[in-house]
Amino acid sequence: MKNKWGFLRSVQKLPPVVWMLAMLVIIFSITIPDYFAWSNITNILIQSVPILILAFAQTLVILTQGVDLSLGAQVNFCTVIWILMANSGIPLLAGAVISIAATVMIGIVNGVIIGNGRISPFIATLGTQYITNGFTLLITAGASVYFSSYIFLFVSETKILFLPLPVWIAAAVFGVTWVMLYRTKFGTNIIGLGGNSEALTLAGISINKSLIKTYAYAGLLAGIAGLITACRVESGQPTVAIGWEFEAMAAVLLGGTSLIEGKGSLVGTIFGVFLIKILQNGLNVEGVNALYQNALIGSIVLTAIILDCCARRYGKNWRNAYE
Amino acid sequence: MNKKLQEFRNSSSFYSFIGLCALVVLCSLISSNFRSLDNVITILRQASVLLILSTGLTAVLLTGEIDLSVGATSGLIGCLCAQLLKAEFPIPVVFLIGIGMGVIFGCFNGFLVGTIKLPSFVATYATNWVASGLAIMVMNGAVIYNLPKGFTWLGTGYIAIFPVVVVIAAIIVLIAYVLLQRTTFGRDVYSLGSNADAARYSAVPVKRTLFLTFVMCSVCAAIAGLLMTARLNAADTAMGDAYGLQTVAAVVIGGTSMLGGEGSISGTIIGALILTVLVNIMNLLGISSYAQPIVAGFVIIAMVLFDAYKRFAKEKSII
Repeated sequence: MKNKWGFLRSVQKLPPVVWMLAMLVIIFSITIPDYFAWSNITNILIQSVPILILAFAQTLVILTQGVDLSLGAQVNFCTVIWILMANSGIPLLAGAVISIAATVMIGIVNGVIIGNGRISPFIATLGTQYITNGFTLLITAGASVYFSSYIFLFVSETKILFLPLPVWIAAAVFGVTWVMLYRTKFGTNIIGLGGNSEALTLAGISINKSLIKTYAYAGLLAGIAGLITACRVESGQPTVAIGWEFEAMAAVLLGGTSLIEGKGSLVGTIFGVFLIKILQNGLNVEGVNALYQNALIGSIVLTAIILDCCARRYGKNWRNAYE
Repeated sequence: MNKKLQEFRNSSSFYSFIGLCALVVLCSLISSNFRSLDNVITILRQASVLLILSTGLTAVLLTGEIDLSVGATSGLIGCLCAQLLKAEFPIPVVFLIGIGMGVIFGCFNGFLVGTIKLPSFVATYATNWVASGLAIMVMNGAVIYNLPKGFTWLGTGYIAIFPVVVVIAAIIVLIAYVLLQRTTFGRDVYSLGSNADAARYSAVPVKRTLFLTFVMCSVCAAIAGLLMTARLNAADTAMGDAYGLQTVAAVVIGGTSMLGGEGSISGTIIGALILTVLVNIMNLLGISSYAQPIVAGFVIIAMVLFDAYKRFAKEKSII
């Protein structure tokens, strides 16, 4: 008897984002024929990849009670300099390494300003966002840059076990980030930073170093997302990722990571990203007028966040009432 | 007098003020066009919309919250009013509807933050999303131009030698100043920002104060949206977007702390002027518009870093 209710209770404890996601999938699968066709599923997956990777980065940053507004700018920057370097004769692989190194540098700068300079992450990364985007527009004069190579198609079209390569890359990024966050000292420090940074200082841990590492890792992930994006659009686009940092942030918050308490989970973030992407994909396939999509997605995201917040506050009482 | 001066020297906006003075001196040395009266009026005019938006946001930041929706709200209200004007509604009615929309958005934000207790960062970002979506719906993907003369007068006309926008901005700043510095509401705002728990225990009406600050912010956004539309003599869905983060930057450059409780309207005036003068001088010098955000970014970081350094030094001296 106890086991039977135990299962129900664990279902009951699922965060609201899972319920919303399930509801959306059910609605779309009824209204859209062939919704579960493999092509549609891979389509959703591949569209989610860059935001997924950015959202992992944003999760770590938000766990430290920060936020990184420069992630989208870093992606723009990365796609552009990679293609520009390829055009000037640097081999693609070397260019990729240099591009990622460049975004890591931006991340380190973020970390130094925030950690050593003691200024609000919001303003610091807003500043680096302006600078990075400005620089990207300046070197391209606002236009896209092109380079042709079979490697782009190779990366975006190769399938391993029926799934495109970028999806596997995202999965690998998830694995590495998960292990780092939950199985290493560095990860414990990140969680500690959000929870109680004073205790961390007293324990003799350098907050600045942890912050720099976190933002540098966010830069690394932004670089990877940038390379994948460049492969998908086969060009360098100075404005392709504008606003992605916010989309990633929305996903992180939907996934239940809290801005204040330093609590949250990477798995929740995945659900958050899929909620947004499945919604976008579904509205597109349903043929909902593009004019209405923004307002609709905004309201649904808002509803999900409100539900999550209420569930957290009143969840205990509900559970108590059942027991 | 001396005491006032000392107070100003210790205030958070003192160094922003020095920064602005240095910037103005530097600019007048570099460019002779910068010194002309015409250009001064242009700068004031350009600064007005940003100033109105930042004035509202200052109140919100002082409580320790943030409103990311100002840009999109002002854009939406500008678009809506342009549509109403095209449908030949009388101008005062359009104005009232615009400001009413501002109140509604403010109440909505206040409800989300004050009553449901969502983090303001999240709640207002979602409102931002919804507002920009609504703007797209209102405009139906088109751009409206050629608005009635009486309306565009607000953006381009003059009262004596002062442009109307500047006069309106001055009035709004004055009202906000009185509200924040001379009323109980203002004291509540500051106490809520410096220590929310203490404020709650001293019977500060937390919910009402939050509501009022968000309403104040959105009403400012509504007025800014109307003026923006009047100045451009056109309405476009994306016109408010650029202002969203710029407004935060202006307030913070002016010395208002993102943690709340510290800052002032006078600082915000300085912040808005610094950003506007920067853009103005770069235009005069013919610097590529792509390079402009780079300079703005550096200035934002430099100002805030300096502020943080100063605060750090102060903390040390206290210990």
